Amino acid sequence: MPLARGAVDGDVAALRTLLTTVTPNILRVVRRVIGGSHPDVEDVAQECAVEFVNALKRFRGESSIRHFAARVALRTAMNARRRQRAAKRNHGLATELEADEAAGEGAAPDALVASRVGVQLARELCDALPAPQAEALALHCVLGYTMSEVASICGAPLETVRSRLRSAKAALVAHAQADPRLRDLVEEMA
Amino acid sequence: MSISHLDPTDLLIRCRREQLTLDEQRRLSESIEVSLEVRLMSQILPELERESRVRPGDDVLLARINAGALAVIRAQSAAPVRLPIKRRTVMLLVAAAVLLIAGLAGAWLGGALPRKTPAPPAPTAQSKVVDNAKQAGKKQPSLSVAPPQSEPPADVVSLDSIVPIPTPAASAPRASETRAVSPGTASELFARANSLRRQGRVGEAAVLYELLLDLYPNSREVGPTRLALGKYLQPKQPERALAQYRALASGGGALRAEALWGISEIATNLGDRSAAQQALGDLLREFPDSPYAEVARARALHDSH
Repeated sequence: MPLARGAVDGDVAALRTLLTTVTPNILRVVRRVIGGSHPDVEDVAQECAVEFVNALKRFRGESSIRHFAARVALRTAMNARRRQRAAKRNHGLATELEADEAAGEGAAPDALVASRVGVQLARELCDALPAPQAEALALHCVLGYTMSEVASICGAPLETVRSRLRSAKAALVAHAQADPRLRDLVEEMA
Repeated sequence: MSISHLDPTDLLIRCRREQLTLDEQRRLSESIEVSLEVRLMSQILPELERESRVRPGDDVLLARINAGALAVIRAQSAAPVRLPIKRRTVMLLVAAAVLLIAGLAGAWLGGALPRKTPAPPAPTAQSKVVDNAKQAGKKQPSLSVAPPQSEPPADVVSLDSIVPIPTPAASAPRASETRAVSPGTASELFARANSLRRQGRVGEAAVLYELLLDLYPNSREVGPTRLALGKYLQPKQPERALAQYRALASGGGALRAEALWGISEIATNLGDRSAAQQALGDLLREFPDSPYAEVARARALHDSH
């Protein structure tokens, strides 16, 4: 909190220390949202860091500074992802993006296909769901925060978060059941 | 909240953090067997952890992100303070009114507005010149006769007061033609290249960056363009990247630290230790507070051993 206050007051050393502290977390968020091998990881992470500093004025210490940074980074990275998808769609390259995402860093063994498709479905849902549900889903399923941590990060009651997640996870399951690439997994569970 | 009431997906997240008791692990295993939702998440989370794991070179990447963010924040704070919206609106309206009045006055003076002339004017020296030319059977160029503020005596009017106004068709190419042949201004080219790079079309972006350097070698976009081009060329054509970094470093300015860092990286990869040490030494001496400095100190120490 003193570092954040110092950064807001224009203390360059405090700002630098704060950025050094939270940037690894921001980078982790960006890699999870847009993909670890995406060429824009650095640009988006920098955009997130700038947004984080600009948002510091609103930080009132209700959550930890790392959680606050994660939330700002999540929103910024999700916006960047939506922008990129829209740009790719405008250039008729939507299928290329999907192929990139499914392919990951190289040819995947069959055992990994389901997990990669699951990641892709979760990211796509985060683009498509209403904002509160998308944020809860991303914090829980993509960033790996528990429900109580999501409630703390969002400043929302736990039951509200639970309800948002219930809807979002139901949508995830519905998408998985409709995806032919996950047929084996779905049939196994049935 | 009691742990026993945790949602299965919460159990999964705690399991990834190795925070589960044996009983909770048993509960989680049962959930994974019967719930598609939990099974999916049990596959998604490890995959995402793999994607976001720390990699070699992350320290340099983080330093670059911090340096870039600090530069943007400094630029933002140095930007002029915007006036309050009401004041801006009033000033814009005043400016628009002034422009409108100036435009009307210009149009009137240029004869674009109809003037009340009940009787044909007496021939002036200018019209005499035109009439004489017509009589001589010569083709008239597109001329406009500037109306005198007050009627001057005929004998003092010279041909110098007849000012040719070039027509738009003759003076400038059409806008569509300009678009077809013009690559745009330096800032437009830079924005287009950045946009392509963000879409992952880095090869096309590099072509535009090089075009910008050719067409606008003195523009203010040259520095960031050299940096972007250097980063693009570094893995595949390090010599060309080195040339860009050297040109950027020689220009000084805020991007010199980035350029020196790039030079040291390429020189290290090419086995040119003296050049690498020279660049790192310059970096440490000139930018001791740069985010690169800490990594540079470590590398210089390592190289000296």
